[in-house]
Amino acid sequence: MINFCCSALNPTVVCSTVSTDGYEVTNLVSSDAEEAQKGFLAYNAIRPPVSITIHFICSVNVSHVILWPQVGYQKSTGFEIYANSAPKSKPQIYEKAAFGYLDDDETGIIFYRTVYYDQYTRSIKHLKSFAQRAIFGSTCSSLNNTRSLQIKIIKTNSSVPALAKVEVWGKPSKSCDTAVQRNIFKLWTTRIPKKESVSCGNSESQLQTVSGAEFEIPENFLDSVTCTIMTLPFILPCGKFVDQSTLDRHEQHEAMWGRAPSDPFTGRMFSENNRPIPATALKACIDKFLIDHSERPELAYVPRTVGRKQKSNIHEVSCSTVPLTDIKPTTSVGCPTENKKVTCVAVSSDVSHLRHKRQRHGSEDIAKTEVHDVESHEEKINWSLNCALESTLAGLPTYTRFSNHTAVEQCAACSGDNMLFKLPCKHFLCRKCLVSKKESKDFSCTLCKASFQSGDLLRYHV
Amino acid sequence: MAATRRLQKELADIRTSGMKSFRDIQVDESNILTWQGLIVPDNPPYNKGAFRIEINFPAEYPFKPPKINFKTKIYHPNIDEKGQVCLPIISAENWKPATKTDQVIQALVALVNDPEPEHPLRADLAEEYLKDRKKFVKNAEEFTKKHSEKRPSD
Repeated sequence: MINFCCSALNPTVVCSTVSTDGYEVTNLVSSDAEEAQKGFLAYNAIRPPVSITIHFICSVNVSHVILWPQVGYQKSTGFEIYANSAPKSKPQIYEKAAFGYLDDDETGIIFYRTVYYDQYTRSIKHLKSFAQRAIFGSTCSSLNNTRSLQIKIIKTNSSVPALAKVEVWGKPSKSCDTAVQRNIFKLWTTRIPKKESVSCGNSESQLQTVSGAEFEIPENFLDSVTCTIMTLPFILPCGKFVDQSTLDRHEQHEAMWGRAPSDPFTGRMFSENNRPIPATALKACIDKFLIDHSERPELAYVPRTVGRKQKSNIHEVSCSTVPLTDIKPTTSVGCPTENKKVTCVAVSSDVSHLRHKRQRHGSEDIAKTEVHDVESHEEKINWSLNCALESTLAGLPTYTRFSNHTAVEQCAACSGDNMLFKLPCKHFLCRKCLVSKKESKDFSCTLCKASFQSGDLLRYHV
Repeated sequence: MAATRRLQKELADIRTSGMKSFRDIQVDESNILTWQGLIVPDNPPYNKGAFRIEINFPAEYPFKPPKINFKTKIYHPNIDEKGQVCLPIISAENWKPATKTDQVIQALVALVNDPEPEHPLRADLAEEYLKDRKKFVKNAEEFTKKHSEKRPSD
């Protein structure tokens, strides 16, 4: 969910009347903290109705609108909301979406849509004594694609029309271009740190609720055909994301009718310039999400190309055969958690490289501290310790090693390097060879004949 | 099952959007693959009643199309006595996995409202529809009165 009135998203705002000096309507979307704090106040001879129109960066699927109506002693007590889905160049048609009046003891008002009730209640927990009004269901279409929103102040507490702050929460509408959507998410995420530094307490409680009972998979991680979480996301020519398994199945069904593979949405046949492309950025996001939430029962049966948290525990147990255990008691005294991390990263070298990549920076730092730790105990520990340390460090990926490595990584069967998977015996097979192996029900490595199961395979990322 | 999540989402979407022409959707909790609901057509001669339909989704949904059956008898050139209906959008060869159930229902409602005598399932009714529209409307109205369900009040 994104607040489209956030200054990072460049909303523009206009007002039907003049305002008091210093309390311009542009304060509502200002990036200047001082201005934003002041809010909007109409010129003191103005009486309601006053309408304030906010134009958004893109079409917005509105979830809820939060209004803070009090500036100093001036307070507006009645609001109406209108939505418009036509772009700026076209005639604006505003459809009334909701209205609400405030009691004296209420500090603000929230207009919400029943469709997004769950997400919305989660995000407004920190707001005390706010009036809540539902948005009419009949305005669905214009609220799914809102280009601009009009807030009309229709009543005041015998004061000047005022509006301290406004937040319009929602998502980029589905009609937006995917590139636009991506940019907006980027804009939004890059501004989030600012917000967290301001309101630490809030974000903490938000985090807690997120990790609480209401667990939800982000909608953009879901396959747009099957609505399940994607493992290998592809972007279709029409801009939708689907999983590779969906593409495969669709292709199979199309083949039954003697048709070439095509876009499941538009039916257009794939060609050299018009074909699904792996969505690597999205895949990285999904993988991170899966790793972060691997303990979730909802995700237990999700097929994955990356390891899970529990897996690292297994590796820790299995590392007991390595002489590293000798170090453990001494180093783990000071920093047990750090040590745990190091052992897991260093020893589980056959955990997917994607994970390695992500943890590499962190783990190197930690490794350094460990080196330091170990040296301070050097008098007590014998020569075998150095060996152990070396073997530990050898497991850590380094840049030079990494580049040497790539030369070896090729499919054991066809010597190709397209979509490699790592077997438990540390040999590689490409997807094509694996599929042909699966068809012939031969689950053994081509080189060493060690058998494997499909669950043991790990996608290898160069 | 691949179908479950998608069907849950579609059902939630249809219920929240509140389609006027498709009401009273009943889905057995243990089997989300079978839906029942009331079709409420707007055009005469069918606007005097409501028609119960059953939608059966295959386990391979959305890769295979759903099947629609009329549970209420209807006097219609494109729907036969057993309640089978010929709808191009859900024919096996035209099916696209991206097609949503609400689109299917909209297509069905459109077909009920405006029969297509060019591709009939009941040739006798299609002929009557083309040659003697008045008689067809009269028969269909009587049939609707006799067999159809009550329309929801709101």
